[in-house]
Amino acid sequence: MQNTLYNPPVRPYPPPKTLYRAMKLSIILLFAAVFQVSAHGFGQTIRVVEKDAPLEKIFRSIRKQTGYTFAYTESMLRQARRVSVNIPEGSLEEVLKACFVDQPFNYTIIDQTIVIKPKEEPLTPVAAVDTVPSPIQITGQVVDSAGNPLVNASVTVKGMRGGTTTGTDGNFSIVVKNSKSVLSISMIGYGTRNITLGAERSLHITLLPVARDLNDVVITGYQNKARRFSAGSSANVRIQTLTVQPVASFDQLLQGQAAGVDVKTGSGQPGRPSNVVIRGKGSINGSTDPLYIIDGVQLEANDFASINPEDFESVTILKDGASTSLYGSRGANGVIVITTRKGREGKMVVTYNNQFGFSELPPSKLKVMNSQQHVDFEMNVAGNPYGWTADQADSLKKINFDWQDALFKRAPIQEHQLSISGGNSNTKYFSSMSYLDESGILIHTGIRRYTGRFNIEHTEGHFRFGTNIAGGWSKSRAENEGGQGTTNPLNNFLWALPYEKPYTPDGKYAVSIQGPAIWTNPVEDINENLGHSYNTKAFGNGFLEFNVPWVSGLTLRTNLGGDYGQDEYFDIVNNGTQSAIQNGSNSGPQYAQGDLRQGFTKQFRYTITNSVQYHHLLGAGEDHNLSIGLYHETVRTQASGFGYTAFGLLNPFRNAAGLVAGTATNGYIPLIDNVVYTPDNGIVSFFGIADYTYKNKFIAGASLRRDGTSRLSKENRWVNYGGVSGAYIISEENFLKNNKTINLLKVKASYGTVGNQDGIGDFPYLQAYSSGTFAGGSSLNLTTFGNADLKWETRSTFNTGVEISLFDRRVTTELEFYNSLTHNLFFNLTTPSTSGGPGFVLGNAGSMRNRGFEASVNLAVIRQKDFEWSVDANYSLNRNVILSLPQGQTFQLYKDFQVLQVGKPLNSFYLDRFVGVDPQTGSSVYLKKDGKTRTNDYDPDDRVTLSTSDAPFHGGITNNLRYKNIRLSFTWVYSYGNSVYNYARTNIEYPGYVTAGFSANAIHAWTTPGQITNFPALSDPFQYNTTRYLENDKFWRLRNAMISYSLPQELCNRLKIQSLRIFAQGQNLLAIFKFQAFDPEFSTLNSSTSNSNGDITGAQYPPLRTISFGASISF
Amino acid sequence: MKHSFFRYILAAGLFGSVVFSSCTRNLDTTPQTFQTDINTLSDLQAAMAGAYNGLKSSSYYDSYYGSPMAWSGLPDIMGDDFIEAYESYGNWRPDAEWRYAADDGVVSGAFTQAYAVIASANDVIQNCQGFKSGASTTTAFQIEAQARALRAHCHFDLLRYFAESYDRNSDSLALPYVTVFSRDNPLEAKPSRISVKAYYDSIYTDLNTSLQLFRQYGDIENDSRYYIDSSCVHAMLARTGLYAGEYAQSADDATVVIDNFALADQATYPLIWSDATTQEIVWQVPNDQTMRPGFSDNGDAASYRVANNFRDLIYGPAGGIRNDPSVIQRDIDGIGNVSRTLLYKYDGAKNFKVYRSSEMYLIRAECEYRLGVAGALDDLNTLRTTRGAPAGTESGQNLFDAIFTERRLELIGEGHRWFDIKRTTRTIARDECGSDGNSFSTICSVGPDSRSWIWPIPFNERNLNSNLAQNPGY
Repeated sequence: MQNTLYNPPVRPYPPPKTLYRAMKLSIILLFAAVFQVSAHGFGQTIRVVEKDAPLEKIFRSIRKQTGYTFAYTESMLRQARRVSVNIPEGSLEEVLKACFVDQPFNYTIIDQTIVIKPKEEPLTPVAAVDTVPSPIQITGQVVDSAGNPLVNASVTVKGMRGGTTTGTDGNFSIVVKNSKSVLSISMIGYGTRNITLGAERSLHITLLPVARDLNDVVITGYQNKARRFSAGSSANVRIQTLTVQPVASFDQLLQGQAAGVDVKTGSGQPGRPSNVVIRGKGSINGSTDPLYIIDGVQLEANDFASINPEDFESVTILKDGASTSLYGSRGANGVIVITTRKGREGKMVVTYNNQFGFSELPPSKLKVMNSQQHVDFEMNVAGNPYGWTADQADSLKKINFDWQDALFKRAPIQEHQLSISGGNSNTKYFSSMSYLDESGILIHTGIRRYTGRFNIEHTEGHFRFGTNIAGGWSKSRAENEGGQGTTNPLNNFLWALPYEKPYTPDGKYAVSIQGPAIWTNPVEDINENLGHSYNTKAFGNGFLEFNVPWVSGLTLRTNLGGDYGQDEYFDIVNNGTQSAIQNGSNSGPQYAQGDLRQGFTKQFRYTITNSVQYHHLLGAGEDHNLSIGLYHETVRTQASGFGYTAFGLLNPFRNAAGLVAGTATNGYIPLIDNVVYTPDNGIVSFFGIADYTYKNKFIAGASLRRDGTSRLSKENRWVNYGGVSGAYIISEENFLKNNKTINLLKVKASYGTVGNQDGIGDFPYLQAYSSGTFAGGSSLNLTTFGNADLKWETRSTFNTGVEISLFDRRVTTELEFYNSLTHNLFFNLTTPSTSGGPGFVLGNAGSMRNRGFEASVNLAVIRQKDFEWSVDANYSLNRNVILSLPQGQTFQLYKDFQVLQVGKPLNSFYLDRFVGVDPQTGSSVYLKKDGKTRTNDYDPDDRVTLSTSDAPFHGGITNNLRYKNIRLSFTWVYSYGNSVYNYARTNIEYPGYVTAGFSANAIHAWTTPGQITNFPALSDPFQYNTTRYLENDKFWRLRNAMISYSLPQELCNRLKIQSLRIFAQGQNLLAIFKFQAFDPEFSTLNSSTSNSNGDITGAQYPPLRTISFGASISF
Repeated sequence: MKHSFFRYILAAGLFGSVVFSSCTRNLDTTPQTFQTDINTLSDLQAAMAGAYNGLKSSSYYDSYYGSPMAWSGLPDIMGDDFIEAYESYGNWRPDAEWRYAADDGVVSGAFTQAYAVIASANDVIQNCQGFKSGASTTTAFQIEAQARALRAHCHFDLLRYFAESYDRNSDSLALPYVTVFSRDNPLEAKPSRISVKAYYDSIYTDLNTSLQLFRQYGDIENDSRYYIDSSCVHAMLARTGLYAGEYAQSADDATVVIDNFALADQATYPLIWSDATTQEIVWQVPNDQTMRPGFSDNGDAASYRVANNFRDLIYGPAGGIRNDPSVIQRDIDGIGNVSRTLLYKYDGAKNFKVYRSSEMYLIRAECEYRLGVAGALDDLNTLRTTRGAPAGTESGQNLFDAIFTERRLELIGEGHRWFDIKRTTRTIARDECGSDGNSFSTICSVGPDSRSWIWPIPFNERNLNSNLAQNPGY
């Protein structure tokens, strides 16, 4: 007989009837709903008022209100009678009883499924099923949501050792004790299903992907909450689509994935972290980096170079004040909470993934002249500085060498990962090993990374404990970014003359006519002088949990986490290279035979969290759901380091063995870096969290916190914060419960305050005399003005939002608005020079507001069995404004060309307006302060406040398509509304540099009266602080595109494997922008000042364009 | 049952011990790499060294691409003895072509650095108070003497750039004379500019107090010539007097220095430029491996080459030993197949010579000339013959011109030329200009009425301190 089943609309598409084979009548198909509410369905009151309605309609209403699903055969329902029920407020039991009064069938509840069976086979209530003699043989099939059999899913019986796994057709067979037994079915990547057996002997079980589950869970690091019952603001990043991207540093993968998270990937150097800002910059001199928490332990963005993102299971981004206040002072800039993969019950599963690909150089929009152009320019515009004869000029024009070709290459990438997972109901384990070898597109650069991880969890009686250890080691060969010197290859290749080549005909490094003291051969520099660094990361975390047996719902937990990292760097300039010659000439004769710089830093941080957690359901029908947690946390960071620079690499070794001993005669006396930055700071916190839910529709939460930091004086060290939040799920109300259009409607609001004490050094409140050397003896130099009054910077955020799900969840959207105020801003106030000292003093200066709007939409456009198409889009707007400055000021020059001005955003440019070139004289024309008058004379008093460098608008759009076993996804990201000062362009347009490689823009430099151009005469006084170099930074980028194919099961069987997936993907395949650089995004490394992307100043390592192919196989 | 009871006790105990083991001691960190106060006499000495250290900045005497090098190389490249070469990347072009605006980085860098040294000196003077008794008395007063002289020296250097007039009694504006280090409230101190006259008063007060302290507590040991001693203070007085027009006093001070520091003979003279001798050096700022005062890139490829007229002069008879290859070299190949003459006084890392006794001969000669007393020609000839150049017989204006020519020959690259022109003729016309003159530089003359003879008060300083009046023309 053919079975079918009632299909709840939460399923993306209905499985066709033909999918299931004919089975015995007694076989009941069970499957899981993705609805979080299910666990709370029983015991709540529901409303059913229907007259002469088909039974299906009532089932639908019950399912919506409770989350319970129904299982039955189609033939049964054909015999059903229409029913009239009038229960405005009643329990599920009452309603069901009323429905089944005169029906030819009966029901029973198994887990959260209401199973309907003909009356001829009388059912005993579940609790009483014990009539079948044990043991019982159970068979079944496990499938995914598309109906494909799941291979190697684990099937265990609760309370019994051992278990089995599904075969290649997804079928299993297991022996259980009796019909009260609970089967647990799980598989990596899918949610676990627990099924109380009842009378069933043959089961059909659907497992849903776990990523979906995790998207519906808010993991705060201290507790997990169903997203539905969270009143805060957070975003989940779909980890499965992310992890396969071949990027050494995980944070780059966040781009475009969540509203309110602005990621500038910037550098293409393998392993380099990006700049992540959540909901706008809330601090000026304090840190704006988010807090990264991995399994409860704090990490730095740099650490991602040695951590394998494939180990990650979930990534949650906490954005609002109420959510981040859990992290107190550390969470002021938002928190990114990562959990790593854990083992699952079942037979051991071994998975191997690999990936191969290559990266290429994207085209640069910062163009330099070719030979023809450069020689013509020299001869006709620049006064022929090299004195070429006409014949020489002609022959030089014929040599046209593109220096990019000598420095950049197609770079291979390969990545391998092996993971093992398994366990039983008491013990679960996960272990992984990975290897990444990513070459950079700049010759010889790259990273090699080895990581390992082992997680284990065990439950014994009232105790649960777990250990999570991971280690990573990476070696990077990196070129200095952000440098502006003539020996920085990434900078000075722009100054290469196009009619010169890197090698002489006999294969030696060519010396430019510019001379090695002016310009060194970048190819030699990278080939001979490239340094390297080693990064080692060890990470351990253990917890012990104790469920107090005398008090139901009370748990004690201790979590101990340690994180050790060490960095070793090695930089060398070898004897005989042009750089050594230049250093010898410019920095001192001891540098002339090469120098070597080596150093080592190590850091240990521990995090101890002790907590008492209490969870309780109260009231009739358990309407009141209360949980309370009390926490005590200590975070301590300590580090040390040393370094030296040594001279005289006379021995034939390219390491420390190459050095000769320094004497007063040879001058090779090494320099000791006696102040290596060594953090030493601690934070101690006490806090409490309370959450309360009433009838699953009213949600309230509160937190209180007291933080102490070692970074402030004893008097100002402690601070109290808190947050409150509330939400109302309107769709839980009776008048909306049966609404077919609206599946979810929730409004929420929160307010919370968080402190910031990061990014200000360890002792900002103390005046400092730092060590120095004068005439070979001791010197104490005044390096910091102390500020004993320094207080915490605080950021208060009000957040409100609405979550809506419509049309069978085809449209899910979340809209949020926030208003965030930062008070007591950390800011280095510039002191008058006449006060001496370091020129600034760190103060609590003024206040700032970030106000924003975020929208994210998920559209399930097509939901067919063979064809699915969904769109995820997010959009963020953040408006920053300075509200006040100290001492009644309204204006502070900030950096050289930006200001802090009351009423304007942070990082606003402050420049003289360049409006063109005077056709008669070739001189630059500027606007006077009045905005009307034009002048040829530059006057800094004409400078005005302009746009900001922080993009107010950004977002991303991801399309996911599936046709049968083929999946396609692509992600676009965009950002607009900001400007950037292109300092890098001044380096090739500055008239002083005409003897070097020069900007192609200068082909149109003014030479003759009447000439209309926007490039002034070379003799025109060059001014930096003008809008001539201010450029629009908007862009659209195809961040990632991927196509994948899963092998059909029959083929897998023939190959004797369980599953195989292959994929191809491309990163950054297309970028649309006008900014004159390799890329419109760049890291703060390229900027002249920290904490800003306001200018692109130094050498940029271009972002990669990567294409890769990979496979994932399980057996 | 008993068994599990003990297990719970154990668990509770473990839990409790972890909770209470981590109390607030983690907040009591102490700095390991700096100190907050001057506690001992050796701290005080180190702080004094820290004040001297400020002179090593590339804004003061050292140099780096585009850095101010305000009192070492810059006054020379702003003068007429140097021509910007084709090799130059033009890092000092706005200054060498005198087209600085109020937001010029070189101008503000020099302003800031000089006041930074002054503030350190003030801090040292304030900290001396606690050591002026007992065993540390002598040292404390000797340190105060150095700090006062250093403070005066930096104020004087600021005056040279930012004041319109050098006259001792001028009412025109100098800068604020800062004598207090405001440790706790650096934002509030907003001093005004004072008259040149009042500014000189303060310089003289400091220098004379310094001398008096050295007399009372004795001179310091100073074989290396890295520190300020009483001779150095006399050298400062001599130079200050020359600018201020206090010629008689200036000549007297120069005499004291001349008596203590014999000129180097011809064999020794080139060794000065390799730091192999301290002969005739009154004060030098030491190099600790990184300093290369004077010109950037004046080794293999020069941003600035010596002007042809100067080259002809120094390679002529007047040059004497000063045309030694360790001082100056010609026929260095340069871009555009142009053969160049390059100054090598500060090739590589060298101690910067702030005062040499040869300058004292020139100061005394000029003072004697201006006072109309005998000795000017003798002093000039003493210097000439010691350097291996022929003696002369000039008188009148010719003698004055000869003293100035000798200043060019003797002091090139030591930070004097711009100020010498400013305090005398106030006009420059470089004769090698533009690509016809094998130079990039196309703005090659500055007339007597140009605003450029005075530097503007830095743009942002006026934002921070509204009491600072701007100089005329900006």
